[in-house]
Amino acid sequence: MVTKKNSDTTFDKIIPSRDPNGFLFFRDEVLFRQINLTFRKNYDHFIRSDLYEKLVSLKLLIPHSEVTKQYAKTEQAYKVIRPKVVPFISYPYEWCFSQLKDAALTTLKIQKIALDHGMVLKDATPFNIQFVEGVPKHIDTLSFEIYKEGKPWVAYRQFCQLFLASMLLAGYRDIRLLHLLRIYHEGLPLDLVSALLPVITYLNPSILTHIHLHAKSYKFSGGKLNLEKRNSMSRNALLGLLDSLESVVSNLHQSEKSSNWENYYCDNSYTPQAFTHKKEIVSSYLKDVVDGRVLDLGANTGEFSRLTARKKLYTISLDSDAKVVEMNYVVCKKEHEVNIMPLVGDITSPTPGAGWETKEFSPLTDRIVSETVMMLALIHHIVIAGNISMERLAQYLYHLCKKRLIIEFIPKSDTQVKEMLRFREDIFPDYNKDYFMKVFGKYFAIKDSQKIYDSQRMIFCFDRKK
Amino acid sequence: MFKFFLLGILYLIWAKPAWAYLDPGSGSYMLQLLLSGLLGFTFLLKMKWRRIKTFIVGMWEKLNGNKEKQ
Repeated sequence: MVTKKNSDTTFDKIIPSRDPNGFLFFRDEVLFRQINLTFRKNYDHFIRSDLYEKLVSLKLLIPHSEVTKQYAKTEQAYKVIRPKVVPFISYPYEWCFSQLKDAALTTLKIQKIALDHGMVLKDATPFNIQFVEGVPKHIDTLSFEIYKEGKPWVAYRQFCQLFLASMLLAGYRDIRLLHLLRIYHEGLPLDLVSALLPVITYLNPSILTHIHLHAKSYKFSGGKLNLEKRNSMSRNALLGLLDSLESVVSNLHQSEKSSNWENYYCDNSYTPQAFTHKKEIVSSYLKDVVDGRVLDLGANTGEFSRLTARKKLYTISLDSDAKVVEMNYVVCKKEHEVNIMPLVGDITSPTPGAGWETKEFSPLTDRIVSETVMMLALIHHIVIAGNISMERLAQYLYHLCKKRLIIEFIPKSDTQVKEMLRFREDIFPDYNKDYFMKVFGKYFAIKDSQKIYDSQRMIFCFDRKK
Repeated sequence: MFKFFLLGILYLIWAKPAWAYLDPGSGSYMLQLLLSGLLGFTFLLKMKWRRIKTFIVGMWEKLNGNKEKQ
């Protein structure tokens, strides 16, 4: 147990929470969680039943250590704990299909183990899951409450609305529908999901029950059936419910519609020699990068993220195409690549702050600031396709990058840029290497630049100016 | 039990908007209660089937192992 004299609490940063049983706060940049007296029984059972130990040993829950009550923020405190810090906070609307699926299966696994220890999850939301060392882990100690025999699963609605509904839409309709989680943090409306799913899903007993009938149940008071009097759901029925959810989630796969970017590395603008040379240049610019986080913008399937991950550098591998992020995640899982965090995100329209007062979920831009930023073969998409000026791009990268910037410049003579300008007016007279160097030179000091062999493209290595 | 389940399902299919102030969680709660019997029964069947399957596979492997030894 950590003991330390209480420091000045005036500048503590409290993380907004709706849970009356506790909250998270930062003090001197250290994360703490206050557990209130209202949650005492549940927390004690959680520890004494060995559920905490079991979940931590199975790498399903973030470990924590208890600190003295001197750290408490209010008089309602029962305990104060110091949870292990998650290296990067991501939200379900930034995950690919398999990340969401793994998070759903982890939640069900935790619920089954909790039941063996006489507890249940009172929340089943993907917002309580974070990817740590490549695997999904539960982060909320306040989600476990004592199981009352006969009581239905209180988090069933949340599981169906957040996990199952979004995965079914991505599986049966289109992967891009995962973005609905960005609007519906509390869960997708089941009547909407039911209407969007194909009629054939009515023939699947699990989907019929968990989505279509569930959607109807909102309009149903149940008064005539006196269901309140039958207030009992056996443990076997609860296990059956979890089994049914597990089986429908396990059998789900994302829809097979192809994306524009999934064959990028097979069908791109580089000859094999040029691609090897590009990798060599980037590797040489990474030689003196030994610490800090890396942000790979427009990472595609993560080819270049692997260069930094092999140097044991935690790498956020960001791409706007959910399908290539899926491919990246599948490779990471297969190769046990724990230093890469594949993420869906578009830097021309990054996920904003959301929730109550837009403070519950922080914006992507605030979370991805990193020591090293790589932006390879992306500048033409931002400046020409996205109409973002070179100046604004340089300013934005200055905000995202703390030390090193490795950026590829694609000239107008490149076939890809020519294709982009083929059917539109060229309103980019300043899009050239000299102007690029002039603008970026305001914010970054140039270290080196090299032309890629057998290509028009160039890689620049910059260091951020103070 | 079956009559109750069938009646419940029919209610759900032809449900009309009830109380606007009804907590959406209560629908999920009632759905679980309604399906409780069926879920429990299918879960027990599944468990029994898994046991039978394990027993048969075990026997088969034992028999094959004996044959290989001979």
